[in-house]
Amino acid sequence: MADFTPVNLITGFLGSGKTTLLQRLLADPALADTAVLINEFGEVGLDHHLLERIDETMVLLQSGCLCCTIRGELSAAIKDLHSKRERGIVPAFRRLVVESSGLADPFPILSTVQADPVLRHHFRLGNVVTTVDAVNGLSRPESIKQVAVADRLVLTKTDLAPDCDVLVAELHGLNPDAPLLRAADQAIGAAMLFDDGARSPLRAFPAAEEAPHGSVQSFVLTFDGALDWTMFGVWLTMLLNRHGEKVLRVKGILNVEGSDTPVAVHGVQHLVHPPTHMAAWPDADRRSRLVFIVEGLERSVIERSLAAFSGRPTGRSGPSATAAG
Amino acid sequence: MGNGIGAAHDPSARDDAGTSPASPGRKKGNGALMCGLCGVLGGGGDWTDAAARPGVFTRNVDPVQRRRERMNRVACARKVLAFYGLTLSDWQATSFVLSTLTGKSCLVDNLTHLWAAAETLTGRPCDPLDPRLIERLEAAGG
Repeated sequence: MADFTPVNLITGFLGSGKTTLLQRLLADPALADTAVLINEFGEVGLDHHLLERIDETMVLLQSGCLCCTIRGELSAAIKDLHSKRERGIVPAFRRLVVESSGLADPFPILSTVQADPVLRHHFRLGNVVTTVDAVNGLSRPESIKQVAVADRLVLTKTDLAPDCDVLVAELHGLNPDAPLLRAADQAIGAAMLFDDGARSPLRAFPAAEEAPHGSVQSFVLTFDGALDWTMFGVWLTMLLNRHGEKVLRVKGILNVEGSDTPVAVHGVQHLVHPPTHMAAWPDADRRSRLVFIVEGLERSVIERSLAAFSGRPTGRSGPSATAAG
Repeated sequence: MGNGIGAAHDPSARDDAGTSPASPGRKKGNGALMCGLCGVLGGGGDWTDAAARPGVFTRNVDPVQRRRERMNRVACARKVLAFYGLTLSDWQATSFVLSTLTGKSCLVDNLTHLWAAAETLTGRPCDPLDPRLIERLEAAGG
């Protein structure tokens, strides 16, 4: 089986410290064989041997299918790097880090890697790292989306705004499963951000007050008993077809009928990663757990819908929802 | 299988898609839906049909399992599609045939494409959060 080169996205709003974080990371020997693509040049210079510039060119395929939304120049740039690597023109990098523009919607970048018919045979999506500026917080809609898709959150400029408990609570409310790191207070190594081996297990979600951010809210559905995998696929594809733009994130571990170990599912809007078959349950809890980060959708309706599709109407043995705040 | 198979390739079908109550996101393009051939031409890669490789959960491992899963998929999807007057059947273990009660049909490659095609054929949204659909499924599952 060919090795798939992980592609990590570093996103975050303008001035939130993406390039500074990247510069720190590139000093880590663990990233010595990493290629970097950036699509905006900030004030901080990057001393790295692979540096490409991408302009934001959106190309929609004739299909009109959002899953096939390709950021053309990004696709071309990655293919070019891959080609040069294969021909030995550039060092054989083992990881690719893409730093997005601060205003970019992360979704087309992720779909480029997963949907492109060439790239998806050579690259796979790795962790998405989102920087959040402790001074300015989540003042822009773009920031909320960037936080929602994150696998790791990095809080920056906490030395300038040390009292950021409210912001931290907001971030946990929006994306309860993403570990939060503080750039000013701790040494952040590449493994802490990019190691996706521990990406799948969801941490325990304590019951908490629901903390919606505007129309965006996150919640957890838990299910007793094993799920019918096929029916779950029917339900999720149908949900994402109609409401994909509102499902900023869906992720979870499922107790699937016929499988002794759990299956991890990760999705961002219309894009769902290949499901992962985990080696073991993370704890003694055998319930399925699904985290949703949605915009403008009702938790109770999603819960009832999934229960109905599963043949287990709520009020009998259906799912229970826990607000994650 | 009737004359309607492949209707998704018909330019008139694209017009239908453009005026149907499809999701706003898909209207970003030219309003056309992905046709069944896209899978053959390299679209593919749907998460419900993930290629078998280390660490990936899929029922796409061997021919028997693949065939069994396709049958399950048809059975599960039919329970929902019945609400819209649609039915689904396997076609040569490579695609699915989605048909209306009047026989209008099209090929779909996978579950992800199924719902966009269903909306095109029926001219109305297929919404899993529709209370009437939920009530129907609850009644059937009770």
